[in-house]
Amino acid sequence: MSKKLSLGKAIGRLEEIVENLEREELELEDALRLFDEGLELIRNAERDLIESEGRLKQVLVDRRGRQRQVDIELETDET
Amino acid sequence: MNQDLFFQAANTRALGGDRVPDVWSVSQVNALARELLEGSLPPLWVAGEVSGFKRYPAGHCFFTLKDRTSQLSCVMWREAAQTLPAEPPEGLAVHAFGYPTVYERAGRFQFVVRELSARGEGLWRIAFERARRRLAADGLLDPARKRSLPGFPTCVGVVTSLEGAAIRDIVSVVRRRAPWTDILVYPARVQGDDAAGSIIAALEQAGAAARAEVLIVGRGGGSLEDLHAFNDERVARAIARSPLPVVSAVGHEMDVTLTDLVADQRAPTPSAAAELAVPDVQRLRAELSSAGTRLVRALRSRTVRDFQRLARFEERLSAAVSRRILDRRQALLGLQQRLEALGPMAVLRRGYALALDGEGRILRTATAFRPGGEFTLRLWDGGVRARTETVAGEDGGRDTDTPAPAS
Repeated sequence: MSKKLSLGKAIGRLEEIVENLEREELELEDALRLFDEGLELIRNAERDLIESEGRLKQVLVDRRGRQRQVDIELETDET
Repeated sequence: MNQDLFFQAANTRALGGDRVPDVWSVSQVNALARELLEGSLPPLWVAGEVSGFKRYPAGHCFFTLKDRTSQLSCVMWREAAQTLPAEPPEGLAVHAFGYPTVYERAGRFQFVVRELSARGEGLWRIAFERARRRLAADGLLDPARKRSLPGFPTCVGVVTSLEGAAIRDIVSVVRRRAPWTDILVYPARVQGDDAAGSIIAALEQAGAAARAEVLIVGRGGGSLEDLHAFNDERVARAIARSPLPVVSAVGHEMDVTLTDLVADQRAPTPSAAAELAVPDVQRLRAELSSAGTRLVRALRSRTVRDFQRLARFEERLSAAVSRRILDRRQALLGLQQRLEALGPMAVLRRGYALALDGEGRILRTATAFRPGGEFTLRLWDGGVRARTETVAGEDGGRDTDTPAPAS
């Protein structure tokens, strides 16, 4: 979950890093640190894209209004 | 009145045990008139203009249908009146479907309307415009209210029927574009009398759980009547209340539904709604790889810049150093030359000589010489031992550093 949550944030952070790096005023040491962080983000994000698989659930509500989620399957055109 | 019909009705009563009376009571006449009327005229369509439409608390509606010369009292019982999207405005041209009868208690001739349809723009349009104006008056159509959708939702909520094509379309688009996304279906009936209530309940459940980050609300294509629920003002208001941003996905023939107007984003179909709701994995991959490229390029150019700067420094440094060395060397050379120039040898070469006493001291003045005294004459290529004959006064004896000319 947290891994997937990070996807949007990772993209945002990446954008920040690249922009920072493209500006000049960084010390080389900081630039290298940002570079490493960026690569790590990309690697993780790519892994998330490949590995994580969302689930399809239906929400059921009981008489007291409590919600429960159950996995469902739907036949879709895509096979 | 048709005699046959009258006797037929009267005979029916007689067979049922009622005697055909000689004198009729009011209620008997009314009942008979009603039977005759209902029995002789089939349900039919009547065209006219609505006048004096009034809905009573119990839900029954009364109005008059008019044409140029006549009026027809109409009643629409609650069941039928419920299907009216809006109360028809005064003078609206309509077609009314129903049957004529006699309201026995009042002895009134009236037309019982089962269905009312407006000509031209129609009641739906009227109802739509009225509701739209009310929503606008409450600020619910303000563009500033539109929320932006989360770019990367972890979970997409869908309010629609589990039976329809809409959910299948949405699931297949989400699976293709963003397979990591969870989909939560809040099942709702999307057509029929209880559709609006069902959609509102589902919206409220989704909002209360706040588990999804964006909601898709809609159904696949349908006729105008099928979309009834999505033009329901209560549904529109429930969407406006939703704590989650809503994408409307009503596949429809008409321009726009109330749901579309209130939603944060509207899509023409459920598939299009899903495309709005989730990012495309292909695009994400491309974005990631371009971020990677930019990252490497930025670092490289940064390093190259550093190297270039270093190289420039080195150049300047070595230039500075070598200039120093050159300067020193030249200075040394100059000093040597100056030293040599200052030294006595150069002078001696020019034909001067130095007179030195026995201790090697320079004899600078004539008075320093003693007659008969020995001294040495120092020439550039050697020394000559000499003896003083006489010391002449001359006007010599100037105290100077320059060697005295040899005599």
